[in-house]
Amino acid sequence: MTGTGTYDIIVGPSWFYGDYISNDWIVPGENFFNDPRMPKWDPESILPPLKELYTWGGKWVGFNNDHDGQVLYYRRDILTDPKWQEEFKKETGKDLPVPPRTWEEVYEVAKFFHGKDWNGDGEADYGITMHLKVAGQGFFHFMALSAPYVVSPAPGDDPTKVTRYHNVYWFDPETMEPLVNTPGFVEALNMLLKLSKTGPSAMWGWSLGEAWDAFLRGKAVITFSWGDVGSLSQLTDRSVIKGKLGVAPIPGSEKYYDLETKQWVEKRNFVANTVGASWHGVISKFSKKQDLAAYFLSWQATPAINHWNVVWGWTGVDPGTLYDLLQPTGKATIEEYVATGYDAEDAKQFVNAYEEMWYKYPLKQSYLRIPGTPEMWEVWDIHLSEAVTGQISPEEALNRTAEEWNAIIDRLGREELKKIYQEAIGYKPE
Amino acid sequence: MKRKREEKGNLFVVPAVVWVFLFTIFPLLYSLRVSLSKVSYGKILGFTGLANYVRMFGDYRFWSTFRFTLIFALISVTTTTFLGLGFALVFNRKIRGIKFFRSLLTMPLFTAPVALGYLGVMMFYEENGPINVFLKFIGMGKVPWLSHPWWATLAICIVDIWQWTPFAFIILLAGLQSISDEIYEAAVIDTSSGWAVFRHITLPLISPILGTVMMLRIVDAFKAFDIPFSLTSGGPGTATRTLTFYIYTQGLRNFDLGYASAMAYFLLAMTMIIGILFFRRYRELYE
Amino acid sequence: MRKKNGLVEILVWIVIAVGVLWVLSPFYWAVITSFKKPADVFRLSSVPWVQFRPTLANWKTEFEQRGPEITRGILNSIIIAVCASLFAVALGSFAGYGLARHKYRRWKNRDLSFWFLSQRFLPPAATVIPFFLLMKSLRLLDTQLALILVNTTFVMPFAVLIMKDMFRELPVELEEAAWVDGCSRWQSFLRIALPLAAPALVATIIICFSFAWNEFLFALVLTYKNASPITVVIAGTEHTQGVQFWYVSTRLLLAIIPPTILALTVQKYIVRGLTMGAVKG
Repeated sequence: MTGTGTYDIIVGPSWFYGDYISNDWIVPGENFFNDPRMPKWDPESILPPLKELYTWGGKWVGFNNDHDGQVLYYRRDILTDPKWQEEFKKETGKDLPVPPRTWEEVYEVAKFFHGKDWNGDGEADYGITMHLKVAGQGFFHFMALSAPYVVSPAPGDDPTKVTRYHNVYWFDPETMEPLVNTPGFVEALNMLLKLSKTGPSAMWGWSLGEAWDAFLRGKAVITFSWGDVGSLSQLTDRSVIKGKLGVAPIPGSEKYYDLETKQWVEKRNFVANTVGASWHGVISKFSKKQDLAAYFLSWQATPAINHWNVVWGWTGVDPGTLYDLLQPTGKATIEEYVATGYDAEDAKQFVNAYEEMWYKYPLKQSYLRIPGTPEMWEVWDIHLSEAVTGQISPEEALNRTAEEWNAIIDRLGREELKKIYQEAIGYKPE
Repeated sequence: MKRKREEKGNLFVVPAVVWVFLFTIFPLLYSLRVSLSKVSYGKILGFTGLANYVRMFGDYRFWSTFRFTLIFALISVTTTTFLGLGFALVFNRKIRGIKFFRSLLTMPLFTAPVALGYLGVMMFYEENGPINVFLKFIGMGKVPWLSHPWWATLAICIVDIWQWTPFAFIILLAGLQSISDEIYEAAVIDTSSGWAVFRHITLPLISPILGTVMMLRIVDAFKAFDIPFSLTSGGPGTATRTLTFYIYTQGLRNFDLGYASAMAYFLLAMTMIIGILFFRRYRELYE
Repeated sequence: MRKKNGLVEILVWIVIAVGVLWVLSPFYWAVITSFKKPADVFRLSSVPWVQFRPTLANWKTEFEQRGPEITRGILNSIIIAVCASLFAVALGSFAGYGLARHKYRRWKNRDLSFWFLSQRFLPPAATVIPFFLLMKSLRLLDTQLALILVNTTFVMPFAVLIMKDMFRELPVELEEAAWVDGCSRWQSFLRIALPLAAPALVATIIICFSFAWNEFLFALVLTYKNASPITVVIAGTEHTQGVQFWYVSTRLLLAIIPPTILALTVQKYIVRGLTMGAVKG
């Protein structure tokens, strides 16, 4: 991040794009795609919502590497157990949803299982497990959870059209006024608080490791997180749930808030997320060896290398290209996954969940790519943590976030940020 | 001849003095300039006068981190001093092998605090971590060490107390051992109560040392960063974020350098006040 | 106060036992965690071979998968701490000798001593930002040199004051005899005072080494990868996969062990070191 030309390649999280663009630090990767000397990789194989993170203003900028997004993990063996299904029906009067499709359903399931000894170890077990520690990436949980409450489809033929009020998540693109304290977010935060009580209160102080482990060692019936959980669940020295894993795309909501009409719409809403960093490389403008840099990044991006990283999950790269998805949509076979140690059904659930979320979900959440993003996320993270641990109310947490985001925007220059934000999400003023 | 010697003697201190000017005084002056400027992403954009300082006094997070720093200092300093004094009184007798135990007790002083924080994450683990299991064993409930603001504050203090009690201990022990036996023997003739001896003989004699210990501890507590960083990340929320931690995030993660420098100057002023008070009272120790 | 008394004796030993347990139990926990399988970590078990079967797997995986990163971290720590403590003690013994043997006119000796001491009160947060900007413009970010300079600055006041005390306690007569024989100050310092102070010198180096080894804030700010010492390496691994207790414990032991063991060798000088000479232990 020095812009001094010492590095040829910047491998950064996707939220650095705002800085790359506003400081004019990089050369679009596209310039090298047709160069015959480069190893061939197919940008079009990256799944649609992820493309947004690799492009800017319709131009390909980055080279394929990581694809982050959170999905829902659950215990297939427990949720499909007739005994528990019957018990659930008795207690709630409803059928146990397998898998839960909305956060409301997730909450009911987690609440039902929390405090019951469903794994038979003689102790009360948990419903859900999350990483909610401040600086423990808890805000990514909330980002994924809040998307369906906030992102609304555009009226007209194309529901995915970005308008001032639809398919926006972060700011009003006309004023840069944060949306973070609008009713959709408040509702979502209340849901997060409800969910946070269907697991151990210890998780308010957990980061990734502790939260994942609670699921992996069979103490929690549900979690939602990145692809790491899918691959870690197959390592038997750490996980007891190999062969018992259920995976579903990130849940939607039973309703969403329309920012235009300022009304709740009582309709199920599903929004794909790309939360996380999706680390990948771009080429520095100051590099004197741009060709070499492009060669290296292209090689890393080739199906052979990238798909290998996905299948051998411990590198932390999630499935996000056609090479990773199973036939017929994708090009991979279940045998490839089994060969690396996956249980066949687990792998199918895992890869198909990502396929459904990134291929079939009608809407997607935009990614924040403006200067100041890390600082904004940090203050958000802090206020979410305060809300979860009961130090302030959900409304206050979100109001304070909005207030501080406004201060940051004013400090960095509202007009400049607005321009970058509009470009980043593909909004064209009418 | 004599004159010449003194001149040469000057040369002995010159390198160290020059070093301090280069690497302490100059950076501090530079920092003062930064604190009076508008800075964006490491570029100084212009003079803004006291704007950063004004912003500081209106920033509730500045006050909350400052308040935590004070609470932390208060709990940690008083506890380490009392525990250290207690241990020193116990160890201040002729017991075989005492040197060995004394050495063991100094080990925490030399462990990297950042490592201790991560060790703390394991020790304070709420679901069957060693501390909670021990507490359960003696009949207490599950303590939310890292998920509740007040308990997290306490957890930070406990780690710090664990690390620094030996500091108070060995220094006070050295102080106690420097009191000669004759004084005690004379005292025991006059009074038979151990408390009276402690109150009227021991305490006055070691009070400068006690003062030194407390001052040094306060100053160190004001610098705390490593343990909150690694144990709680300053959370939940900002409940365990120290001022140094806030300066670090604001200045070196968000690159709001001017503002961070202003807060750093505030912290500097606080420790310097403590330092001046300290020098006033305990000058003679360093003669 | 010093009467022999059975009951008191027992109480004293109980206090000692509690103290030792209190100090050693966290170390013990780190050690056994590093020898546990992940599944055993979350089960309550504290006695190896009885409650769990110890394994070297964590240490092995750690060195196989993160070997280069860890060895680089340890090497950086060693290089930085050794250089910084040597520089600091070199500068410190000059200055200490000057302060012990000379009377300064313009600045009194006492004031000079205080001036050095006052840096003990300086919060690192006050210099971390200018240092960052300075190192950035000197293109020294992520170099060992940057951290050597920083740590030298931090530990030098210690060295000055401790060495001043040490030299002052040496008998001046030997040096005076040498001066009469025509030795220069410089010669008497090198040939007489320094060898006599050697044990203290070594102790000072060790104490400075430990402080430099444990430094974290500046290391975090001034290094990213190539020059990161072990303290930063243990902090950096949290972010990709969270705190994995079994691996973290191996890493933090690597950071903890060298300075704590070294410190056991300098017990004689420790009180002086910690109070910068205010209290002679």
